[in-house]
Amino acid sequence: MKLLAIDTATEACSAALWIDRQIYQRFTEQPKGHGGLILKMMEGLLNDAQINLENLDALTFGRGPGAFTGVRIATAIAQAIGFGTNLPVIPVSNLAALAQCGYRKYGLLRAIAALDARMGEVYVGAYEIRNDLANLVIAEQVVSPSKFTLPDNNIWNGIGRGWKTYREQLETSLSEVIFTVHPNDLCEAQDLLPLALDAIKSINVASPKNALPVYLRNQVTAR
Amino acid sequence: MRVLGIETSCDETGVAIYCSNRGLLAQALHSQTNVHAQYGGVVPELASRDHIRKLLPLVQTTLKQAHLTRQELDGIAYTSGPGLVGALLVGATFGRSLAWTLGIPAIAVHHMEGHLLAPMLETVKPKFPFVALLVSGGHTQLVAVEKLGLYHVLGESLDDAAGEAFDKTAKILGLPYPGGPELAKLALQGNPKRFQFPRPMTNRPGLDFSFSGLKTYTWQTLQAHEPADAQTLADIACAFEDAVIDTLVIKCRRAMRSTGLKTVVLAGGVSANQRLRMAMESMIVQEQGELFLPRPEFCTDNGAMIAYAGLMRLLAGQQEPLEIKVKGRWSLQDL
Ligand SMILES: Nc1ncnc2c1ncn2[C@@H]1O[C@H](COP(=O)(O)OP(=O)(O)OP(=O)(O)O)[C@@H](O)[C@H]1O
Ligand SMILES: [Mg+2]
Repeated sequence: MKLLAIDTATEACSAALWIDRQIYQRFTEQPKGHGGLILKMMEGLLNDAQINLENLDALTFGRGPGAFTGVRIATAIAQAIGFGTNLPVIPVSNLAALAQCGYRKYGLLRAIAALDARMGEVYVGAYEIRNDLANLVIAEQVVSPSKFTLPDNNIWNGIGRGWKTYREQLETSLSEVIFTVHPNDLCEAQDLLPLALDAIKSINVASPKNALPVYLRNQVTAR
Repeated sequence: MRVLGIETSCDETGVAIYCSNRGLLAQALHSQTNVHAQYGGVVPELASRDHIRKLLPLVQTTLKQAHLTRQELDGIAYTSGPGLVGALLVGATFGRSLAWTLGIPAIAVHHMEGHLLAPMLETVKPKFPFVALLVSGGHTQLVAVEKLGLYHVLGESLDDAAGEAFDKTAKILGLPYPGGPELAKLALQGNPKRFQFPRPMTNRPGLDFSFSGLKTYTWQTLQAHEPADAQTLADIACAFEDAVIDTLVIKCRRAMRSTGLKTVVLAGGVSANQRLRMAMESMIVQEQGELFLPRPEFCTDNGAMIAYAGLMRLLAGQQEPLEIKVKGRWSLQDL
């Protein structure tokens, strides 16, 4: 199985390849300018692995939530490549990818992934690792950090930059159940790979037309 | 050479395929008027969200219409500015990435160059050099066009663009969004003799414009006639339109005389205005010049003008590096 993953939803810009269990990744943190970087990173990766787009089996991309513009960059690239090659395109949640990152780096089995959503809110989701994969426990949401609540009293861990900006508010509302916090991690394209590899088994049509962003925040005009 | 053109700079998703041998092969357009109408103007984030939903289906429709497969494309052109950055990014990202995927050249197009070359989509094309009067939602410019890519801005609006003035004035008159064409429709019912509006900046030398005063003038006239009946509203619309058209015609004539150029191109969304087209025609006859007008559907934003401009630049040997770049502000003179 050969898979290409791209992510531009946060301050990070990254691309990764899965070539029969071997992972290649390019990653950079740079708040702006993803557009100037990402295609070259992808080309560099394909060169490293000495393969062409046509040799791939599927594409995956971070479909959000995240910075609106960044999410659309990855989405439009995925649509274009999917359309240009006929490859299936698999959208993966950026919050799920963060939880997957927590599992890979710190072995977190229960993670509350949070991204700074600006305007005093976080994009947040709670995930449990089952069969090495992040599974959503409560629906992803955009919420004020002091209003986020969990359904159970299990011990949880925090991951993502939402925990950096709003650590205090999040910890106050979740104080009893939080074990560790990893506030510096960003989404990485390689963490989309396991989730996409799993999704590819169940998604029968992954048409590029259905490769669309998930913003969570839908109120974008002044009330 | 067959070029796919993509336009997403504002509130229209436009796609077209232009062939160097056979001309325009197909085009499709999706207008976001309904998305923005309730807000009385374009909401940038909503525009971007709509573009990313509509662009790929439009590309597929256009290819099907042209009976082509994607592998039969030889280049991809996309608007990379000026315009709304988020909206531009959708078309630029998709276009640049598709070109990379297909292994064909990509070319970023200046939106106003697209407008300026739109008359070239017609069978009888203007020859360089010419004067272009660009009148759109974001621009009012007189440009000396020496040849492809060599543009000298002779004058431009110091405040509101002509289309913007139409839209804002329409709002003052209580007309629905988008105001320009609505105001033009209402003006047809107006008595042109009842009100006389000023012709801003025409009594001093130079080729710059200023339209924001007209909007204030409209507002004051309306205030003086409250409550205004339907006829008064039509009369005001007519007086406003006359003032804009007259001003554009006066300055365009001036530009022709100062450059000695007899060929004129009128382009941009406002050039869809019938009375402006007629007024320009008669001025050009008086000046013994020649006027080139794109058909109304090529006046407003569309993919065809971008495909054409892109084709010209690709034929001139240009292409983009492997980067996605857009510019919200970008002068024609910097091309
Ligand atoms: N019949 C008409 N009479 C007057 N104005 C019109 C008419 N039809 C369209 N317009 C105006 O044209 C403008 C839209 O033109 P266009 O789509 O070229 O502008 P834009 O793309 O928004 O701006 P720009 O091209 O400067 O970036 C609007 O302001 C609209 O009101
Ligand atoms: Mg335009």
